[in-house]
Amino acid sequence: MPEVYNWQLGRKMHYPYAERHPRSQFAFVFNINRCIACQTCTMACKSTWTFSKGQEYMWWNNVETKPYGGYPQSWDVRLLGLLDETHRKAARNAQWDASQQRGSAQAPYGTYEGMTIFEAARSGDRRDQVALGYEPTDVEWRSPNFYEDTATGSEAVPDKLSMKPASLPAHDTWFFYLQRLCNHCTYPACLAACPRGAIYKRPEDGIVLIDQGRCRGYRKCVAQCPYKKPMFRATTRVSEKCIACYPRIEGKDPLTEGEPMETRCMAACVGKIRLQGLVQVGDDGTWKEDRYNPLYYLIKTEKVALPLYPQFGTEPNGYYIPPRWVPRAYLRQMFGPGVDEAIEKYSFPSRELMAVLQLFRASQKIVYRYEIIEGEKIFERTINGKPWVLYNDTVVGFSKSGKEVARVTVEEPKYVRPDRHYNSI
Amino acid sequence: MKTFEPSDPHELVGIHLAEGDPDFMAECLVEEYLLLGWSDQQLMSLFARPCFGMTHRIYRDRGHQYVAELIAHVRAKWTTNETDGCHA
Repeated sequence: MPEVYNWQLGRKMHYPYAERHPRSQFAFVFNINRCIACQTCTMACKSTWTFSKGQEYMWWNNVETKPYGGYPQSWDVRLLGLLDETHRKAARNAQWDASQQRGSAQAPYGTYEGMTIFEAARSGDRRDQVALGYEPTDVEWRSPNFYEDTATGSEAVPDKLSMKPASLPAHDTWFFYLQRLCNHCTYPACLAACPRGAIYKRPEDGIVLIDQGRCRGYRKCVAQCPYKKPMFRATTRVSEKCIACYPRIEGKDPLTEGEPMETRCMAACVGKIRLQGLVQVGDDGTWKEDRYNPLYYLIKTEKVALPLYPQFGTEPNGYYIPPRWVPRAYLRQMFGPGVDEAIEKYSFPSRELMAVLQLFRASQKIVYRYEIIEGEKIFERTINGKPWVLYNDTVVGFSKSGKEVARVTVEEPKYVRPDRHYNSI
Repeated sequence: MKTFEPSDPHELVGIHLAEGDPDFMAECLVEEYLLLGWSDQQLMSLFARPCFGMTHRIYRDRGHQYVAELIAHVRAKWTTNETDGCHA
């Protein structure tokens, strides 16, 4: 089995195919701190792509409540359990060595010394699999947000919100919402697992797709994708997955006049927690220096956004700003050893980070580059024992062709709708 | 509406987690939305309305007065404005 370099793990790892990288890569950042699980993203995706017969249980985008929930149910706990069992049998530890190269571009989070899902499949008694995994049962796919914190509606009056509290027993502890879609991984386990070679990664943007003509519905992708994002459709007997709204990424939507546009789930986010774009990739798989691409800045320069379960080894291209209030041990398991640095930086954001965070949902068009115009100092104080200064800078976003597509100030602009309009606050 | 039945194996199963601080969670959430420029009324709505499970849970646990005081505390900490999250 060839060896490939996984920069999220800071080392080479086993993968069934030799390294070949796309010219650019679809990637996204989610700011978990702001998500209130309104599920607008979920419904935007559902109503665009998976509203047909046989797709009833397909939620390419979902938002689940952690630590209780998951879709399919307990997907991550199940896989972490399998990975842990393999480590125990092999008398190895799934730990990170953060002492050596940490902070370098080649190993920003240190080096992962445990086994990935590909290596675990080789080491144990799971030789029938390319990647360690399992196929969820029908019950586990039954519904998203089962057992989770969901909104309450009114039974008696259609289209009205119920102001009565939910009658279910509630959790008396911390929790947070995790937004999920296909990570369009650099080393996709679904692609590696497919016996038909029906799954491919597009060279122009790294989007991972299932060729519906070649797929024979063996469901190996369903079993071996650690994030459980390929889903089997019984009516067509082939698997389907998130297609990253590729017509929008290609700029085919007439609304943007040829400019690449963010996916439906990103563009619909009312909480302004999502930012999506494309990063440039070199022949060796490392991201090309692109200092003023907002994704490059958040992930590579500021390191405030982290990959989900990097230890799985697929090098996912979805990144998360971790929630500040969650116990660190839980977050380190979920996002790796970069958690403490990311939370420290997000809690006391730099002048540039404050500006870049304003680009979230400032435009439907993909922002390829930003500029910051310095503004006046508007606030200065010691907060939690640390000096903090706020400047009302303006951040300007530019599209692929260099056109200005966003202009936002750090001080959030506020518009009050006149009372005569419906839905005025 | 059906009532909760603890003996039903398909009912919601809560997990007690020893670590964690729901008060800190509440403060972080207020900070996030206050710095987006939300007013006291808007912030209170985020907690008082049952359609937002996370914040409404805090509202139900701690009460209206707790949330009102928390909003005032966070506003005083992060802004100089007495009505919303704006600074200018």
